[in-house]
Amino acid sequence: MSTYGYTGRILRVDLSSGKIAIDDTLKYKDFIGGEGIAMKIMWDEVPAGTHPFDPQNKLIFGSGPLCGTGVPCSGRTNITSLLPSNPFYGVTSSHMGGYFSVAMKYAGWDMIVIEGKAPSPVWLRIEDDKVKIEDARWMWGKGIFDTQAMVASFMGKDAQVAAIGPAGENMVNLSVIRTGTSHSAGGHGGIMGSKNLKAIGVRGTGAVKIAVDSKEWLELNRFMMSIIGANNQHVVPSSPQPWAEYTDPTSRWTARKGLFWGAANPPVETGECDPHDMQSVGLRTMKATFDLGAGAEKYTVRMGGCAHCPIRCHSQLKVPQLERYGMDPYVSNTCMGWSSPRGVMFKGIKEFDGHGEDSSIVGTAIGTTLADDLGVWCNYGQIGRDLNYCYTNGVFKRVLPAEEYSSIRWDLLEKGDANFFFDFYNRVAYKKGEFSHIADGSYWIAQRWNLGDEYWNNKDMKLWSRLGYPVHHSNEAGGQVGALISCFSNRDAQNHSHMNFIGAKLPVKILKEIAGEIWGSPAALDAPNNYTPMNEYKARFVKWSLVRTMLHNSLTLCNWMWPMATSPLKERNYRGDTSLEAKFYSLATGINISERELDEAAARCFTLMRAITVRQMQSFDLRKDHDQTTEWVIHREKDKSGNELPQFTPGTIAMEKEDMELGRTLVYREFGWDEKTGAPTRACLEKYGMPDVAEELGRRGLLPT
Amino acid sequence: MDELTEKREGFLRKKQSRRDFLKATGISLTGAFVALTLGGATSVKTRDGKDIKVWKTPTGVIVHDPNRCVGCLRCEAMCTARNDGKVSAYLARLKVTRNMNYGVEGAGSAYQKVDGQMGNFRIVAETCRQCEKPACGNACPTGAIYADKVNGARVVNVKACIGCGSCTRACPWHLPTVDPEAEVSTKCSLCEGDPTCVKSCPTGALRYLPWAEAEKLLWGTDATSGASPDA
Amino acid sequence: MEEMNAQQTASPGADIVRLVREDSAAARLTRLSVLKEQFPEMDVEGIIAESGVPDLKKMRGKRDTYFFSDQSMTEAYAAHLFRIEEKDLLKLIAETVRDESQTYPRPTDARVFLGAPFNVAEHDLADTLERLAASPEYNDIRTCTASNGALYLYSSKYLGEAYAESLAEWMEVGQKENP
Repeated sequence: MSTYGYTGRILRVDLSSGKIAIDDTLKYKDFIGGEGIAMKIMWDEVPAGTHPFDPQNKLIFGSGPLCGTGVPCSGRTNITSLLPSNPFYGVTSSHMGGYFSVAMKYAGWDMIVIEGKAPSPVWLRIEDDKVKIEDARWMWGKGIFDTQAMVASFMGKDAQVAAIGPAGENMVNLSVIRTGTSHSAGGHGGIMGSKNLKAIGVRGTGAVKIAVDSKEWLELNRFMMSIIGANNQHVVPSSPQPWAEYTDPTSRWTARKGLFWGAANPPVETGECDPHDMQSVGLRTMKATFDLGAGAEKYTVRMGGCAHCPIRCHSQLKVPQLERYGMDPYVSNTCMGWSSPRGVMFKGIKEFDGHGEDSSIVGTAIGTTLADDLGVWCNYGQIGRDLNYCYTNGVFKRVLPAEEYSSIRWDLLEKGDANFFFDFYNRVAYKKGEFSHIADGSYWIAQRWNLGDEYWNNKDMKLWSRLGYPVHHSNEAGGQVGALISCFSNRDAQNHSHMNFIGAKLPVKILKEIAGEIWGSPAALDAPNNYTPMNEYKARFVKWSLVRTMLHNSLTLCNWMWPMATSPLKERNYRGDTSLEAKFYSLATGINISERELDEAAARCFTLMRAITVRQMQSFDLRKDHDQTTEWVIHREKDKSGNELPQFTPGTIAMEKEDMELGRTLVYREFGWDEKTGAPTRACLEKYGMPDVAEELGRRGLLPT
Repeated sequence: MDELTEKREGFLRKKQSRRDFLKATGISLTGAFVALTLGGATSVKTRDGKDIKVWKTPTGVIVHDPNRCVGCLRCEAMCTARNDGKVSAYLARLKVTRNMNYGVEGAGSAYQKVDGQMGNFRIVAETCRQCEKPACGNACPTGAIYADKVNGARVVNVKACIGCGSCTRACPWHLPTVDPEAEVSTKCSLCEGDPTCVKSCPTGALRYLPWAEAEKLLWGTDATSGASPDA
Repeated sequence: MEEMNAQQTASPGADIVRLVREDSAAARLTRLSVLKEQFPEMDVEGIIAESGVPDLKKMRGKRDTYFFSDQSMTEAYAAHLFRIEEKDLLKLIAETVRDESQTYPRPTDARVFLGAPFNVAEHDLADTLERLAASPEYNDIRTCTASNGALYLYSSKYLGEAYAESLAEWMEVGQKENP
C-alpha cells in the first residue's frame, strides 16, 4: 500500500501505562483522515456512557492526506473527543489552524490518539519517530504562551506546540487547546487537563510524498491559486476596484489603495489586489480593520494565519498600551477571537484608563490575550450572552452567595471599563465560586440555575438548540439551508460550506445560477432574508454542506475557505471548481477517486457520527430528541412598526415549524436515514459499508424499525 | 551563542566582495593560467602555486523581506514539491519554518519581544546567498557543487553527490540539507532561473533580484533580509 | 510628450489608443476634450471609432465624452468614474443606489460614498441626501437605518421597505454578530 499523501502511521499514547504504539492509517482509509478516522476510532473504542473526563475517553489529534502537501488552506488540525458542555457528552470535533498538523505529518504521523490519564502532569514530546512522555509538573499552572515557549526551548525553535492553560487544567467545560499565536480548538481543553497532559510538542524532519509527477502537482496548485478569493472565499472586493465588476462593503476582500499594515516597518500597502496578481493574494484580506475598525490600521504589523494558506485571516497587532497591564504588546486573533471578549463586555467598551478613542481596541486586545493565555472558550460567543442574561435578569443575584455577588466588579462592566476582563477570566479559568459555572456551558447553567423557557426561547440569546449551542450560520444563512445544517451537530455547526457560497458577495442572480449547476435547481438558494418554502434542492444543498465540511475536516482543509464553489474571475463567469478536493486527493495519494465517491466517503463519516450520537443518547428518535431547534427560530418576527411578518415574506428570517419538519425529512432522505426518526437504518449503514455499526445498534435496540 | 550562530557571525564579519577577497589574499590573476573548468567554477593556479576556485558570479539571488513575510510557508512547500516530489520544511532550499516562531535565537525568556511569530511577528527567513565564494562548494569533497552555466547558481550534481553533509556543515546558515531518503544534498538551484518559491509567495516577500541589487540587501549594514541577525 | 513625438513610427490612432489604455491602467477615464487638445488637428472620435480596437469603450455625458479600455477597467468601475466626472452628485448617488438595489439586490451603505473612488465630502453627502429626498426625479430613493444608527439607501423600484431594512440590519449588525 502506498503512503503517498498519508504518512501511513497513527501514534497511540496511553498516558496511564506510558505505552506508546504505532497503528496503521490505511486500514482506516474508508474514513479519509482527520475527523472521519477519529469518528471511527471513537465508535470502535470509546464505550457509550463514558464521561469526557474519564481516562477511557480518547482525545484524537488528526491531520489528513492533504495536510502537509502544500494544497492551499490545508493547515488545520482536527481534534475529536467527547464534549463536556454537551448534555449527553456528545462526540464533537474542534479545530485549530496554525502549523501543528503539518508538523505532525512531517514527523510521520497522520493522527495522534491520546488515551488514559498520566499519574502527574506530563507533556508529550514528538521528534519524528522519537516519542517521549516528559514531566510537566513545573509547567502546570502556566499560561499557554509561556508553555509553548518552554516546550520549544526544550525541543528546538521549530517545534510546534499545542497546549492548555489553567482553564483546561481545571477542567473548565468551556476551555480550549491552543497552538501558535491564536489558533484555538474550543471545548476540548478540559480533556487534556483530565489526562494530566499539559502540552504536545512536535518536530518533523520528514516529508509528505506526492504520488504524481511534481509538474502535475504544481499545476493543480497553480489552478487553485487562480480561483481562490479572500477570507471565507469572498470573491468580490469591499470597495470599487478598477478590475472588479462587483463590490460589497461587507466583503473580507478588504485590500485597497491607501490601506496599510500600518505598524510594519516600513508600512505595507494592501493595494488593489487584482485577482490575477499571485503576489498579492496574501494582502487581499486586511482583517484588522474589518474586525476591529479603522483605528486598528496603525496597530497592524501584518496578517498571519496557517501553514500553506495564502489567505491570511489573523490580524497581528502591536498594541503598546498592553505593556501597562504587564502584557505582551503583540497580539493576534481573528473573527470570534476578537468578538467574543467584546460580547463579555456586553455594555460596550467605553473610554477607560485614558486610552481615548482606541479604548475599544486596547480593551478587546486585553480580553483576547487573557482568554487565549488562560485558555477559555466562549461557546462561539455564547458565554457573553449568557453573562448578559444572567446579570440583566437577576439570575446571579438569585444564585450567587451575596458576598460573592458583591465581590464581582460589576461597576467596571457597567462603566465599559475593560479591566472587568481580569475579574471575569480569572474567576472562570480558576473555577472560583458559583459564578464560574457560567463556563459550564448553556445547557448546564440552565439546569443548575433553573433558567427555564424564557432563556431558551429568547431570540436575543441566539440559542439554537436545547443541547446548549448557539447559531453559527443558521437561519440567517440561506433560510432552511443554514437552519437545517445547524440541527445535526452536537455543538455549534461550524459549517462554512454553505456560508462561503451564500456569502461570496456575488449578485444573487449569479449565485442562483451556480446553485442550479451544483444542486440541480436555482431554487436551492434564496436571496438573503427573502425565503421560500422548503424544497428538495435545498435538502441537497444541506447534505452537500454537511458532507463537505466533514470532508474538509478529514482531508484536512480549512472549511473557512473551502469549498471552491465560486471564483473571483469574470472570465470563468465566477465559477469555481467543486471537484478540486477529489482531484487533489487523487494526485496526492495516487488513489483515484471521483468527486461523487469522495462525497460518499464523507457521508459515511457523517453517518457514523450520527450513529455514535444515537448510541450516546440511547435514542434513535433523533428528530425528536436531537434535531429540534429552540422556539424563537420558528416564531414570527415583527417589523419596526411592530407588525408581524409572516414567514416567507421579504424581510424575515423566521422559519416555520411544519416546513422545518419537512426539511428534516428531505435531508434524512438525501442521506438515506430513516425518514421518520432521522436515525441511520440497517440498510443505510450497510450501504455505507458499516455492517458492524448496524450490528451493534441493532443489538442495543437502537435501529429504527 | 550556539555553534551555528557563532559561525554565522564569524562569516558575516568576514563578508566581502570578490575584489576585496582577492586583494586581501594578495592573489593576482594576472599571469595565472586556467587549469580546469567545471561548470561555471574555474580552478586557477596562482603564481605562488596556490590552487583556488574562482566561481562565476550568479546572475540573481533570492531575497526575503521579513516585513512582508506572513509565514504561510507556501515557498517551502512548493520548493520541495517541485524539486523533491515531496513536501517538507526540513528539505526546503530556503528556511522559513526554522526561525518562524522564535526567530534566529530560539525560544528564550524574552520570546515576546524578539523576532518571530510568537514575538514581534517579524519572520526572519534564510535564503541561499549563492555566495561569491561558496563554502558549500568549496567544502564538497567530490566537487559535486558547481556554478550553473546560465545563471551561475551553485547547483548540486546529484550523480556526484555522496550525501556526506560537508556542504551543510560548511554553510554558515546550514542551508544545504541532505535528504536522508535520497542521500543527496538539496541545495537551492534557483529553479533554472525562475525560482518556484518566489512565484509561490502570496505577498511578494520573496524576490529574485539581480546580484548587484541583492548584494546590498543581503550583506549591507542596513540589510532588511535575514542575512543580518540584528537588522 | 517629447518622447511621444519622437516615435515617428506610431500613427496618431495608435497614440490615442495608447493614451486611453494608459489612463485606464491608472484608473482614470480619458476625456475627449483632453484628447482634442492633444491632437488638435484630428477627428479624435472618428479615429477611435475606426481604429477597430475592441477594448476601447465610449461613454457620452453632459460635460464631456469619455473613453476607457476594458483591458484594465471594468464597465462597472468606469460607470462610477463617469458619474464622478459628470459632477452631478444627486445622479451619482441615485444611480449607484438603483444599480445596487437591482443587481445584488441590497441597500447601499451611505458611507460608501465617502470612500474611494467617490470621495464625497461629508457635508456634501449630507446636503445631497437632503436634496435627494426633496427631488421628484429621485423619489424612489429611500433611506433606512440599522439598529446601530447606520444610514442605508435603497430604491423602492427594486426593494420593499421591510426587506431593505432587514438587509441593512444584516449587513450592518447581523454579519458582525455572526462572524
